[in-house]
Amino acid sequence: MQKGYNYDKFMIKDKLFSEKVRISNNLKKDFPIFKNNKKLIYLDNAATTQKPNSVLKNYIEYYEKYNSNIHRGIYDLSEMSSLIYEYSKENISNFFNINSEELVFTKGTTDSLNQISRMLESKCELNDEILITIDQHHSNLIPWQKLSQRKGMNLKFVYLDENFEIDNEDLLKKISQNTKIIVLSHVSNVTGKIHPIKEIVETIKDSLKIYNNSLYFVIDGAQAVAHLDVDINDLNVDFYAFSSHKMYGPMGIGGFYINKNIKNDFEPVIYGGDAIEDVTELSVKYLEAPQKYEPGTQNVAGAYGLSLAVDFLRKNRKKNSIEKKEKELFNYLYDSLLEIEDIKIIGDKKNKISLLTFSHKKIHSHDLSYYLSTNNIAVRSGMHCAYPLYKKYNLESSIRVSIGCYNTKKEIDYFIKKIKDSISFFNNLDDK
Amino acid sequence: MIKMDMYRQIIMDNYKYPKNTGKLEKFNIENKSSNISCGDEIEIFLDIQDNLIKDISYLAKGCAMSVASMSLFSDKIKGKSIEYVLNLSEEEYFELINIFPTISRVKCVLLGLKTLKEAIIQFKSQNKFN
Repeated sequence: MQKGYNYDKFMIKDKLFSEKVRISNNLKKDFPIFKNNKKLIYLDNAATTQKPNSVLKNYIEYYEKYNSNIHRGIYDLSEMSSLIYEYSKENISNFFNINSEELVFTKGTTDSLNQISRMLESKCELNDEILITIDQHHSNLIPWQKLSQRKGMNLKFVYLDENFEIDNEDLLKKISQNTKIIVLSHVSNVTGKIHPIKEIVETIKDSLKIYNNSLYFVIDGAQAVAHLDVDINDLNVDFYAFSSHKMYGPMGIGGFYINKNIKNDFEPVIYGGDAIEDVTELSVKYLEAPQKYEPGTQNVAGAYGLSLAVDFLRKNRKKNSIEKKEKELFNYLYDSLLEIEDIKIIGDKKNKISLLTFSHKKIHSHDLSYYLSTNNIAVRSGMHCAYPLYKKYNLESSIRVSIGCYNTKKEIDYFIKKIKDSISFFNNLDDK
Repeated sequence: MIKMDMYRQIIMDNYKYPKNTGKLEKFNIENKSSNISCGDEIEIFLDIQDNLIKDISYLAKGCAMSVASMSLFSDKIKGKSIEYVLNLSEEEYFELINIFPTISRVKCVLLGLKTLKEAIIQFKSQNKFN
């Protein structure tokens, strides 16, 4: 939180905005998208989640009642906007068990990872190494490819075992006294595998302590935050990136965690107003982090929307056990799919969020998913922005099914039925 | 509204039993192109004589839309001039093969046209001094 602010949390939460965060056993009712698309079965939650009433209505209400620029206006509206922004940052930080001075708002995970890779550039030297696992989304690969090319660094890949989990032996083989940056995803967007970040960090730090390397751990948390109770502080990493829109919040906002011990060590990547303490004709002095990394007009409605999404998750996890429900649905989906002939699921059932990816031996994933879409089922097909993973393990273009808090067993039954129907459709045509 | 109408019998026939597949015995240009995000891939072999497409064959791997489009297209362009193919707009191509994809399937249907145009451009650049 920016220094000097004093506000009444209760006022912001309960007095300023009219739509309350709901807890319900029938969460679908809280999501207007399903009212407007009555037959929709939405199983593409890893791409983006739908938004509850509290996020949507209060997002608009912010613009209707409080819209103004933060931090600089000496008038009521601007003060109110600043309070909403600072409150949101603190609330989101609490959700991740971090200090609000360690949270930088960005446009989302991609923006965060690009900024982090640029920030780290001045700390890197020729022949330093970046260690990265092969199951990265392109947004957590290309920035590191480019950084390594700019600085003459080595980009070393760590591969996976037969269950698509990180191969620890390979990891240990590849760390060296030149290791500088370790890039991991908390959860793979293709396999759904949850990687044991805390243990990996400990192992690497342990192995390298004799060299006294200055290491930076960068984690892509995009697929984790809606499904796991992420305690970033406990992971003991340096950077952790995430997006709001994958956790029931609005698009266009996300952020990254930067460890308080290093938070002021970097040159900002983007320059502009409200991030500086002083400017002369030839020099600049920045404010302290996180403000130094947040120049320009901030997305206040987005920040508040994300804060409400965090409240939605927090409350429904506690009183509505959404994680447990998602897990049960996932197990049911996994087992039902396995029974269908010629279907191959990537990776076993262990250590996954409620996400799986599969292909059919004879029918292309686009054809299957197109058939599903004619039955109002939304899934994703293709290579899911992870080409190196697909190439390394000779995987076929595949369908990803990702479960959210509003999905039901009835929907999974319908999905399974339609997958079987689609296979019959394409097989029968084959016989003609 | 997405409907299964796109998967008419003629498309499925051309997907399951594509025409003009394989590798020509005699060809003077070949080109391979792909939609990496889908895993679709087409490799084209052309026998071009006097700026006319005398013969065409291809190897295709992919969804029903990409394979069927290539199959139908290959039948339509034998004997046509390379300039005709180069000047073919996307709309004219959809008309020619009578497939009108939804927005999410445009890339699948266009892969054949893209691969063929690239092949002809290569051919022209290799033969510009002849």
